[in-house]
Amino acid sequence: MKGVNRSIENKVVLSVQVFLLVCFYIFALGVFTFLWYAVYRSVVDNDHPAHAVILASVITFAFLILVSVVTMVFTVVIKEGQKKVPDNGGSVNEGEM
Amino acid sequence: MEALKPDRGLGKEEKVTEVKDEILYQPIMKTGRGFYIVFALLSLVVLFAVFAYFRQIKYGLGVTGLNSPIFWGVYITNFVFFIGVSHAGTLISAILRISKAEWRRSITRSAEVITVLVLFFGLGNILIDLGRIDRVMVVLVHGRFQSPLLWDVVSITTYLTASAIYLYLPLIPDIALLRDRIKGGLRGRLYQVLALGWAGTEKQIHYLERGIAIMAVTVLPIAVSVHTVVSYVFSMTIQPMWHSAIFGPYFVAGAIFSGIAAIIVAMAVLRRVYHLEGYFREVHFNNLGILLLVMTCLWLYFTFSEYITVFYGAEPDEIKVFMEKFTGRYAPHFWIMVITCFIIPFTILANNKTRTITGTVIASISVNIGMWLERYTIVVPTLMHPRLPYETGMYSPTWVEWSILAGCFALFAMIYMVFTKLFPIVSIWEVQEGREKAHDEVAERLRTYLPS
Repeated sequence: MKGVNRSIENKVVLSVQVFLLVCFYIFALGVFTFLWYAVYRSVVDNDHPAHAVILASVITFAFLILVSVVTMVFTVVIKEGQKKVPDNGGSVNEGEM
Repeated sequence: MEALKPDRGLGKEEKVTEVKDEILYQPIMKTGRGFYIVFALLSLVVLFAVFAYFRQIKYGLGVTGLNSPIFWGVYITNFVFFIGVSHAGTLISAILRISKAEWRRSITRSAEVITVLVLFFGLGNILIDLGRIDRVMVVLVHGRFQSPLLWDVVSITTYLTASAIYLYLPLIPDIALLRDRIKGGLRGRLYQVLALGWAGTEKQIHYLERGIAIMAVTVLPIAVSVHTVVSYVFSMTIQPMWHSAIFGPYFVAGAIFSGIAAIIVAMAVLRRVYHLEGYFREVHFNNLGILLLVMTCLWLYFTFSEYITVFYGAEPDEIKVFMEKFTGRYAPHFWIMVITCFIIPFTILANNKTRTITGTVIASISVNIGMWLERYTIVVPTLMHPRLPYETGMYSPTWVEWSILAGCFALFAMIYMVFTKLFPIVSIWEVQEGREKAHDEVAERLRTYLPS
């Protein structure tokens, strides 16, 4: 019974961790939408689109780096954690299985 | 690397290390009566500020001293000031990390927290200044990238995101340490989630270190760009004494200046309250004091260059603003700024005997007051004498603006206090790693720098 409870708790923890990552992606997607919608409007209105394109490109590049770093750290740490820490959201010590 | 492994067994030496660092867990494990008293007092200040803000929402910006043509005042001053202070953590921490300054280890966390928190206050003051908060949607939906105001929106958002990531990544191993200590309860679950299953495996360490290194490099240009863009809000106009080519570097230098001062004050408070004398040592205050001294001289150089150019140009609109600051209504603000930003810190910090912990803290408090006044004297006198044919304006902040300013500082202190109750304010694993690496690094340094 205790083992089942622990397994459920682990799954909940893992779900929350994945949820946090998804929230970050949604936030980043919101920023990209904001940037490129402004570019779209400036092109449609012929309102000096060069300004918008340059700025949106720079910020998009910066955000892509941030998204890559977060994805890299989250996925590696969570995956490894699942293997090594049975209390923390994953199958028990995969390496020994 | 061993310091990154929370699940390692304790050897004899490591036991000593654990005992040594036990004090870093104390603020999290125990909360004294003093904490609640200070928290309650600060809450009163915040509640009064909330009351003032609701009054502003109900009656409009008319309850402030803002008027035509002085449409920016304390709120915009706060915005520039807070964004400046935000350079405390991330920028300084990143520079020290990249340059492998070993003494950084115990101070970076406390600085990085300042960055993330004050950025919220910077953004918050903009929202307060809008008057009608629903107008934010107008910026989001109809914003045009020709406006430096929108450059600010995107650069601060990027900086806030980068700073939050840069604060969080080095926190992961420490959260894992807490996860292993505190089981169950809301706190235990929080640590379990935020630790991401950290077990200190080689792969985890490798990727975390890589992530921190990438962030340290990425955050530097973002931080510099943020305060440059804040300065563009002023310098891209042709208002007298705003339209200046050196405003970008001037603002960045001022930001680092006030940022270092903020770190020193925070370190002194933490040292006193949590008895962290072993972690925030004289050497930290001395090194940061020397950095502050360098920035004091740099600030004077930029200020001198800025004002001498205006004085020699003697363009009528600019001279009006110049004289307003030197001998007019804003002369007290201006000269107090000179005293607090240069004379007091320089006198204290240039002398080895007075560059003590107390001396450095006094200099830092002085710098923070001076830097707020600097932002104020940049924003208000120019709007008092705009280039367009307006009547000369008058501006006196009302109790609403002062209350909100006090509320910002109180709320910042409260959130900072809560952070220290949830997470170690000194990076435990970095301190332990520093101890482990110390001997090898000294040997390497001797081998690399000195002739054999």
